[in-house]
Amino acid sequence: MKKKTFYERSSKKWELFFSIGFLLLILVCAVFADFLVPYSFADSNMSDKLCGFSREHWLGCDLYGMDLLSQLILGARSSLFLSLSVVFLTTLIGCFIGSIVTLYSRVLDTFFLQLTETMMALPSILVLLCLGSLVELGPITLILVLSFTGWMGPARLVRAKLLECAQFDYVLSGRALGVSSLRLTFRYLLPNLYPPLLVTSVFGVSGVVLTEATLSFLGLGPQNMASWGLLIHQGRSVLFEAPALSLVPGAIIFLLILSLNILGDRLKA
Amino acid sequence: MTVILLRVTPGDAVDSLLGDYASFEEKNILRAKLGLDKGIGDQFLAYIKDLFSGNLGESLIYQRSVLSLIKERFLGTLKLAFFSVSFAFFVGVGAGVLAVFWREKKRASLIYFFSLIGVAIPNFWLGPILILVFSLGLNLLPVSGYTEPAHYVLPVLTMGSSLVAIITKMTSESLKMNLQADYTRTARAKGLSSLYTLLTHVLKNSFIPVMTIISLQFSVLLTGALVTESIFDWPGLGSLVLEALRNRDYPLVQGCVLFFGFCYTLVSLFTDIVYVFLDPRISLVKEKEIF
Repeated sequence: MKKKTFYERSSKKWELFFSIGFLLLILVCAVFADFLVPYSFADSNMSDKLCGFSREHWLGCDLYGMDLLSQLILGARSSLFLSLSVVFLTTLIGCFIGSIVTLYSRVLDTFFLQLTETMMALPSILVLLCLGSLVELGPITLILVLSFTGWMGPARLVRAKLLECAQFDYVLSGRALGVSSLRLTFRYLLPNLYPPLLVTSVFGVSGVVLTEATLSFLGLGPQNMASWGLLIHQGRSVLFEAPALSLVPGAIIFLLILSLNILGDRLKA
Repeated sequence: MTVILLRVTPGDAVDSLLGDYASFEEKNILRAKLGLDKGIGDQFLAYIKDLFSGNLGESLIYQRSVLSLIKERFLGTLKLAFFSVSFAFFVGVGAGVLAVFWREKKRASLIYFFSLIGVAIPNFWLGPILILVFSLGLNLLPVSGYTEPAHYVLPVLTMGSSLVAIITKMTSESLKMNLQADYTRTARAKGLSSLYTLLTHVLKNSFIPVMTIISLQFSVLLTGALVTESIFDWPGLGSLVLEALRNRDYPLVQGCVLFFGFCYTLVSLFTDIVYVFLDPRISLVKEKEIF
């Protein structure tokens, strides 16, 4: 009999507690941002510029005298909005294209495989670099671009899973009952895909959060949106005077990605 | 594709070159000189024509050929990438082997824990932390510069950290899968020690997925180079392309993007070739004759 490894034996409950707790915290911040924000944009005060931790400003103030905590809470909202919509769109497109391709012709299928392979090979950062130079990337443009460069993963997953599930007996019985293949796909087969799609979505969210933050950090992201990456970008010029300005948003991004990855790993298992 | 994307821009380089005070006529003259007044189709054809003769155009800001700029900066990025990948490879494979070797001990979960953190840590956060701790706090390593070996430590750590974590994870997973193979049992039955079996028999067979992962990390590496070079003021392609983007220096951005694409193709070709050496069962030519 195979001995269980130490890692499999340890319960790791605290990891899961931590990750779900942190995700809930971020979610609450994002949803109730309007009520939670201690200082609005209008309250910025240049005399508070770069002030340290204090009772009035828990995490201090940034270069423009704005409260860092408020900005972080607003950043949670935009970050979640962005990543959830990208993942929603990619999953939707992926499901749609994946099922169309398996439903219909083989020619389309071969073409699909070639196309996704080529598109996956293209580093999406290149597309973003090009686009970033030509338009001010607004949140909507960013969502569209990231969805356009990210739908191949879910689509390939859907295709593979559909082909796998199509061999089961309930599909045969459905066919015998005279169910159309369209209905068969959407009512019989797609529900089987929810668990794997959920896992890819969780990892997808963490990927999008990281991409958005990286872009903003490089100064290529949306400029008029509260964003963690942008905060780090701005805080970098005063790294030695006020390290908290760039380190705290970075820590939040790190913890968010960590919790999402833990959750994804657990869901997969 | 790059050309079309870049040229549909609302603000153009002429504005940033001459500033707001230049007259309309002056701007038009410069536009004609740069060929920006022609249609997109014409520009595209001209660019493709130049491309085949190895001419990537001239940078608008530096007034030098794009190719020479890329040549000048490429070595910086190559060095950084080479050291990061080798660092990631050795540490990652080592940690992966140890994680499997110690799989029944508590130490293994420590390695797992570090790899979890390594994957999640954004390099634009790690870089500043490293600077604060090692340069400012401990005064051990320089913040920026690129001449002495000490200058390489922080950038390589920043760029390689996520790769280390990914390679560790992949190695240990792949090793675990191969541990259950029959040849492992044979080797152990022969009386070979478990570490020896792991290092000679199993590790060799586990390299294929690891190589695949490394070649797939090209875009991670590219992003890493952009971020790392911008944090440490490293004179490489990443900082070049960022600067070009800020100045709307189209020919330079196009050249760099094309060059990145070219590198990507080379890397995938190289991986395919390495496969054959790693696993003689994979053949690049004879595939059709077998069936």
